[in-house]
Amino acid sequence: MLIPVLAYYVIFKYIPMYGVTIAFKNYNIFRGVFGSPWCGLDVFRKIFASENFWRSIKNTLVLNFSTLIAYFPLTIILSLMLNEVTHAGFKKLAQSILYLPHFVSWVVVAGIATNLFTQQGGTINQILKSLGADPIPFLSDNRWWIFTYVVCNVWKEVGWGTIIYLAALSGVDETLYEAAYLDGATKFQRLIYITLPSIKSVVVVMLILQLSKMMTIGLDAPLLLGNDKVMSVSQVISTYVYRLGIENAKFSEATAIGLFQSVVNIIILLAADKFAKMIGEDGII
Amino acid sequence: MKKKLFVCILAISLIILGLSGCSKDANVQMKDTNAQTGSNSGSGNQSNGSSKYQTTYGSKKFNNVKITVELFDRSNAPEGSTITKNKWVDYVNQQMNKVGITVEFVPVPRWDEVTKMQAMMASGTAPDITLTYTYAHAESYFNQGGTWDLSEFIDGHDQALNMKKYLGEDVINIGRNAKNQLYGIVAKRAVTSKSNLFIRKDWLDKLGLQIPKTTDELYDTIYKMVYNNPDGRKDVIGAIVWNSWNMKLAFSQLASDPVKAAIANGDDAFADYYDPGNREYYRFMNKLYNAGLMNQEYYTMSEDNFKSYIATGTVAFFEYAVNGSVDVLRGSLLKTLQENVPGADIISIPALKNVNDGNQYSAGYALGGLINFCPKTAKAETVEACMTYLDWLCTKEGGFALYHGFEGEHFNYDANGVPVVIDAEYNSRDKDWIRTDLFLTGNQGYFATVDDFIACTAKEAPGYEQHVIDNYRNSLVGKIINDTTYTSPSTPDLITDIGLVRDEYTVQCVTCPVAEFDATYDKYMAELEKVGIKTIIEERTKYFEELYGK
Amino acid sequence: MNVRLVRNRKITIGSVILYVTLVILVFICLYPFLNVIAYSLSGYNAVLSGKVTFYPIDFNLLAYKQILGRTQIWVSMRTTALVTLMGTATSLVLTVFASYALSKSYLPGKTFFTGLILFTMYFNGGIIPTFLVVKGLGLFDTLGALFIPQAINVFNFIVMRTFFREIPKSLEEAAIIDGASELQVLVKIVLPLSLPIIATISLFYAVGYWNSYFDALLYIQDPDKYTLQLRLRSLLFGEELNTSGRTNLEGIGTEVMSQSLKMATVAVSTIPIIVVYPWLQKYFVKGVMIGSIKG
Repeated sequence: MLIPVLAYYVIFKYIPMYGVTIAFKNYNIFRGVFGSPWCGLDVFRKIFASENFWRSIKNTLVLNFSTLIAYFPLTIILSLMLNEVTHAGFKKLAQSILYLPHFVSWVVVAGIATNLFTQQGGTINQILKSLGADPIPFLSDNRWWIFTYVVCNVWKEVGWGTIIYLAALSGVDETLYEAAYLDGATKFQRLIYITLPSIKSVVVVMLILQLSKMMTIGLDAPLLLGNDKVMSVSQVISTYVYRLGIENAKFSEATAIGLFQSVVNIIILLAADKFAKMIGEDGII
Repeated sequence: MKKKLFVCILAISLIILGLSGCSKDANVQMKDTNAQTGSNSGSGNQSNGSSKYQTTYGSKKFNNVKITVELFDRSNAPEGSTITKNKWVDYVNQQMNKVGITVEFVPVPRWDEVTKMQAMMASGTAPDITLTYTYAHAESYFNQGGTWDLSEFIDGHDQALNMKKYLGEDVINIGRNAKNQLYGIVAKRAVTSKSNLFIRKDWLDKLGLQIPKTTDELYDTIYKMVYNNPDGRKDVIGAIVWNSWNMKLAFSQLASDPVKAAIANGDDAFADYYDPGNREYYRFMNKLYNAGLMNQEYYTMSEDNFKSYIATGTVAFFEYAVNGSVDVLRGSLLKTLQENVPGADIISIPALKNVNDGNQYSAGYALGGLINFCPKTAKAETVEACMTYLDWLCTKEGGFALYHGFEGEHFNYDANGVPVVIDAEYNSRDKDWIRTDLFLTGNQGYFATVDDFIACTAKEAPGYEQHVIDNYRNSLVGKIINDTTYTSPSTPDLITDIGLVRDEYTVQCVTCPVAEFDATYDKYMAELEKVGIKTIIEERTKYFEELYGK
Repeated sequence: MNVRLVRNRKITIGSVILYVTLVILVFICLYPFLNVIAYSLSGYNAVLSGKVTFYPIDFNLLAYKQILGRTQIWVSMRTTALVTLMGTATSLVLTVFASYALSKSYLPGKTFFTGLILFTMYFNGGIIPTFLVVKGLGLFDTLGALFIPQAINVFNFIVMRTFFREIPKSLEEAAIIDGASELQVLVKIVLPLSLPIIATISLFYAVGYWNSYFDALLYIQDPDKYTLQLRLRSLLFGEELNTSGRTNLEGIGTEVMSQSLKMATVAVSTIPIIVVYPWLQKYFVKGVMIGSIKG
C-alpha cells in the first residue's frame, strides 16, 4: 500500500532535488542546473558576510519563539475550554467564528491593526487617552512592536489551532470520565488526570513540529505589519529573501538561504525528537 | 517477499525517471547552442542593399508565420469577451494576416508577471515576444545568452522604419548595452511627468497667502495651515511626502550638472550618499516632523490611509503622482474631498526654487517604459515577424487605432486634430480594458506630442479638465531631470543590503530629535559605506563620465 | 454522556466565566470579518474617507456585481472547486495509506521510509526543477498539475500517523484473527474510528487547495483553467503596479472604490470554504470508542 505513496515521493520530490545544487553554482537559467558552473561555497560566503543576514536570523528566532510561547499554551487552553461547553449550538457557533481570522488575509489584518494601534488616532490609544494614560507606541517602538506582532499572530491562528486538539479530545473515552466521577474526582482532577494525558501524544507531536519550524517564518505578517522604524526587529529571513528576489533573480542566494534554514530546522527537529523520546513519548521519527 | 518486490520497483523507477530528467535538460541545452550559432552568422548586415531581415510592416509577405506575444491579463475582460478572444485580437490578426503573420497571445497575470516570466524563461516556454518593466532582467537574460541581439533586425537602413519614426533614436538606444547590442525594444512614454506638489488652495486663500515658491515659504505656509487653521481644525497633518522626488530636487546640489545628476540617480540611497543636498532635505523633513507638522507614525501609513486623509481634508500639503489629485482611477480624490468639505480645493504648484541656485527642477521618468525582447527559443524568421509586428504597432492602423479606437465610434477629432473621447463609459468597456497591454511600443498611449497627451487626458476627468492640464504643466516646469536606465555591474549584488540601510536610516533621520540629526545622518552614511555603496558610485561615475565624453 | 448532563445543570461560577470569556473572544474574532463585509457593501465616499467600521454605510452591491457579474469568476470558481475536491480526495487516500502503513511498528524499513518523507519537508529542489518534472510528465497546463505534485503534506501525514498509533492494537488483532486482510482492517475498523482526524485532515487539505494560487500561476496557461485565487489576485492587486502615472482599472468602472472591490474579493474567496467546517463538525463525534474494548 505504500507503493503509490513512494512513487509520488520519488517523482515529485526527489527527482527535482538536484535543484538544491543551485546553491553551489553560478546559476545561468538558460544552461539549466547541470550546465551552470560550480562555484563552491562562494554563494554561502557572500551571504554569511552580510550583517543583515545574521540580523534577520536573530529576528526570525525572536519572533517565532515569542509567538510560540504565547500561542502554544493558549491554543490548548482554548481547546479545553471549548471542550467543556455542553450547549451544542453555542459550541458549534463559537468554533466556527473563532477560526474565521485564519481566513482573513494579512493584508486586511495589517490594515485593521494599523487602525487600532497607531498613536495618533488609533482606537486603543484613544481609549487610553480618555482614561488619562499615556499613549503606547505599539507600532513604532521595537519592543512594543514585537508584542503587537505576537498579539496579531495569536489572534489570527489560535482558533484554527484548536481544531487538531478538539479532534483529539473528541476521541477520549467517555467511560473514563464516568469512572472517575464515580470515584469522587473533581472537575479539575478529571482535567489533569484524564483529559491531559489523553492528548499528550498529540501535544508533543505538535510541539516538535512547531519547534522544527523555528527558522522558517511566513512572509506576509512581518512584511505587512512591519515598517521602516522597527526594521531592526521586523527584518526577518523571509523579508530578506523577498528583497533579494525583487532586485534580481538571485536564484543562487535564495536557494542557499533556503538550504541554511532547512539544515537548522532539521537539527532542531532531531534534537526535539530525541528529547521527546527521552521523556517517554513516541517522537516523530 | 513483498518488500523485495517493491524495492525493485523503486529502484527501477528511480533509474528511469532519473535518466529522463537528465536527458530533458540536455535537450534544452542543445537547443541553446543551435540558436546561438544561428545568430552569430547573421550579424553585421548594414550593407547598402536590402537587409537580410525585412522588418518594416508591408515590406515583406511572410509565409504564414505564427508568433506568440505576451499579454498582461488583469482579469477585467468585459462580458462576452475573454483576454484571448475579443474584437481587438481579431483586429490585430486581420491586419497582420495581410502580411502573412498570425499572432497568438499568451496571457500572463499582471501582478505576478516577473515570477511567471522567470519560470517561463527558465523552462523554455516563454512567448516569442516577452516583456517586462525591469530592464535589469532583460539585460541579465541577454548576458546569459538567452535572448536575441535585435540590432540586425532593426539597424539596417530599410528596417523597422515605422518603429524608428515613432520611437526615435533616443528611446531605441535605451535598449542597447555598452557593446551597442540591442537586447530589447523599449516602449516610448507619451510624457515623462513623474510627480507633483499639491496644496490646499482654499486654505491658502483664506489665510491670504501666496503660492509658496521656496522651501522656507513652504514651511511657513504649512505651519500656518496646521496651527492657525482657517477652518478651525485641530487634526491637520501638515505634510505627507508620499513621493519625495521633486522635494529632493529642491535641495539638490547636483541638479544643474547632468553627469553628476545621472550618477546620483537610480536609487534614493545613491542620491543620499552622493548629493550633499539630500542631507538638507532630510534636515527639512526632520524640522517638519519635530514641529508636529507631519503624521507622528507616518511610516505605518498605507496608500489607502494616505488617500483617506486627503479625501477627508486632513492634509495641507503632499507630494504624489502627477495627476493624483483628480485621477479618476486613483479615486477622484478632489471630487470626494469636495463632497466631504464643500469649497475645498487642491491645486498642484510648480517645483520650488532650489535652495542652492534658485532654479526649478522637476523629476521625470526615463524616456522608455516597458521593454520587449525575444527569447532564443524563437527562430530567426519568427523574430523577424515579431519585429514586423512591433513595427506595425507604431503605425496609425496599429498603435493609434488600438489606443484611441476608430473615428466616429470612439472619438472625434477636435479643431486641433486631437482625438476627443465621445463616450467614456463605452470606451472603457469596449477597448480601454486591453489597450495599454496590446500597445507594446508605447506607455500611456499613442500620442505625437506631450500637448496632445495632456489635452486628451484632460477630457477623461470630466469637470476637472483644468486641474489635469495644470497638473501636467506644473510637473514639467523648469529643468527636467529624467531617470537613468543604467544599472552598474555590482548593483544587483549590493542593492538589497543598501536598500535595507536606506529604509532603516532615513526614518531615523526624520524622526530623531533635532539636535541628533547630524550625528544620525553621519551614521547613515557610514552604514552605507559598510555595505559597499562606494563601489556602485565609482562604477556609475566611470560610466557616465565616459558617456558624456568628459 | 448522561453523567455530564447531570453535572452541568448547576450554573457554577466556573461555567459563567467560561461562557463570558468565549463570547468576548468570539466578538474579537468576528470584528475584522464584519469590517471586511462592511467595506465591501459601502458607498464610494464612505470607503475613500475611511469612515467604515463594522456596518455598511451607503449600502450598495456594486462591488459584488463587478465580481460576481463576470462569467470568468464563476468559471474559475468551478475550476477551483473541482481541484479542491479531486485534490482532497487524492491527498486523503495517499496520506491515509502512508500514515497507516508507517504507524505500524512492525513494518520493515519503517524508519527509513519515514525519514525519506520527513526529509522532503525541509529539502526540496525548488521551483524550476519541479516545474521541469511536471512539464516532462505532460501535466503542464492541466488541472492535474494543481494537485498531483502537492498530494502529500508532511505535516498532515505526521499528525494522522500519530492518531493511528493511538488505536488499540487489540482491535486490529481481533479482526485479523477473524480472517480480515490488512486492507479490510483499514477500511472497516480503523477508518470508522478515525473519523475526527479524517475530517480534520480533509479540512486542512481542502483549505490548502482552495487558497493556493502559486501553482496555478506557474503551471496554468489557458485562462479558462485559471483558479479563483489567481483571478481574484489581479483584481486585488491590479491597480498598484503602474509606474506610468495612470492606473489601469479600465473596464472595471469607476463607481466602485478599489478598496470596496478588494474587500469584496476577500469575501468571495473565503466564504465558500468557511462554510465547509461546520458541515464537517458532525464528524467530530464523541465517544465512538465506547464499548469497543472491554477492560
